[in-house]
Amino acid sequence: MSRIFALSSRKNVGYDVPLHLKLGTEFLVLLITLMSFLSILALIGVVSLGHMTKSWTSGLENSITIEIPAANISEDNIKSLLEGLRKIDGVQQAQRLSQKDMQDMLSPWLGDVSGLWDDLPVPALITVNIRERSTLITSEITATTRRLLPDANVDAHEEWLHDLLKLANGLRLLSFSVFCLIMLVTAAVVGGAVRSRMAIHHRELELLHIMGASDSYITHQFVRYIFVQSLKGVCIGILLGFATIGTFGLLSHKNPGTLPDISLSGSEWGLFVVVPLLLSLIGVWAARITALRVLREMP
Amino acid sequence: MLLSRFEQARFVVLMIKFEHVGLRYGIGPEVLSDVSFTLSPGSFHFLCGPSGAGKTSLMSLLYLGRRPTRGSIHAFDKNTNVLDRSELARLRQNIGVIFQDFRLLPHMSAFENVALPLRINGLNEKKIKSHVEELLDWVGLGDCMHRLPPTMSGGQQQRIAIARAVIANPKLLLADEPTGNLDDEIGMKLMGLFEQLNKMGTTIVIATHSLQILERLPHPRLILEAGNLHVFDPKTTVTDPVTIPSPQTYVEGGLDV
Repeated sequence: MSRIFALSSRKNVGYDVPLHLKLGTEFLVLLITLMSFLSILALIGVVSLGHMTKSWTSGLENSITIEIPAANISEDNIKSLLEGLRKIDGVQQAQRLSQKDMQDMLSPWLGDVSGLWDDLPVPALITVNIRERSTLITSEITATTRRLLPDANVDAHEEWLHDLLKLANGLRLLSFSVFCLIMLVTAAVVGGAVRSRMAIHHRELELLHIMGASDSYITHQFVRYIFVQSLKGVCIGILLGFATIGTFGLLSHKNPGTLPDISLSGSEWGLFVVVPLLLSLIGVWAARITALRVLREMP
Repeated sequence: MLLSRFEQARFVVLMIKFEHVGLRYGIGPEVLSDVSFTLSPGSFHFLCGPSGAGKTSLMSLLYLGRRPTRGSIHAFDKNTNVLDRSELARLRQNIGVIFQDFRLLPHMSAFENVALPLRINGLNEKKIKSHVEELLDWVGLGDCMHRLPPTMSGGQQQRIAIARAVIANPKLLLADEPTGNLDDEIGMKLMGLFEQLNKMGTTIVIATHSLQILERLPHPRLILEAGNLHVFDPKTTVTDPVTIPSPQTYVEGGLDV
């Protein structure tokens, strides 16, 4: 890397090989911009899925809901069930969901139901908070409920939580695959661009060889060129990505519930800078490998 | 303290040695067949021969631009057949080449073109500046060192090419028709410069078809004909007059060198 900057500090010349001339390979900046932007989009996918999964699991992982059908609701039964549940080792809290909480839960679907509440066959819900989810505690809660209120239904959220997590993990894997694909495409296109520039400047490369330039000396020229081009692309890509995150955050704030929350932590912001830079390094690496390979084919 | 080129050359026992060298391109016929000769340190040779005889190929082997398809080439006491690419690159830094078409880099100023071998050798910018400015002044281009080659005359471009070839003080200087674009007087002055460099220890090989130069300078001649090489030294007795043609034969009568 120090060699790159040493070369950059040269006063009167940019490249021994005329790489600064516009010969149709300027699309590299555009390509790296696009790839950086896409990598940020893929990252947004990974990060927001991470947030969503976290909020799902943190809300449900350590809780079990017991549903008592409307026909079987009796204050005494509920009281004895709550007492029975609280005695189980590992249960932190067991309480009946209040009427207001129930109405709040139903209002998005049924509207204001406070006037109709007594006529609605709404079951009673008991939320049991446990210290740590385990098969033992789940079966103990189920057994206690069966014993005290045989008609009550125990929902440990396991099935659909498992499915949701599976879906989220699948989507995260997909985002990661897209990200890997972006890296591969970048490396392939940069390699192709370097190969084409080397074919165009074959005579200059031959001359440098005759003068005693080593393969690594010539390769540094291409590495520096790709480094500068990709850095330009990465900067534009990052700006576009940040603008997208800002817009997304604004929309999410204005329409809560319709878009996932992507409020980012400091390290996540850092990730959005580091990942496109990684893309630039992959471009540099591809340029170096390609240049060395092409030079080795020369006499 | 830096040794002069002459002093350095004394340490090199063998400048160039070709042993039964053959060269072919792809699966084509051999353009050079069983070529053997030796260039001692500090020697001066002319390379002559008709068009298509293989001069360009021989020059490319001399500047280590390609490897022979058979035989071996020793350069600066090393067998180039067994050297890796980085070692070959280091050896090439001891060779200066003046091409007939100059091969200047058009996007670089005269200064940058001449500075290139020094940059490749890793010299620092301060020394590069002083060396290049001094040499460009010496070849009479001190006032146009920042001009691009395409804006300069053929003669000026040729002087840049010469300056670029000699700037790194090469042990071996190869020139392909260096007087081709110059009138006789300037051409002879240039030959005087080569003789001066030769006296300082630089080994010189010049490909030329100038009868005037060949007649006035009695240096040994490497004569190529149909891929075969004959060595002719005007200073010594010719032992095989049948195989050694006169200068007129390989210079005049439509035979290009």
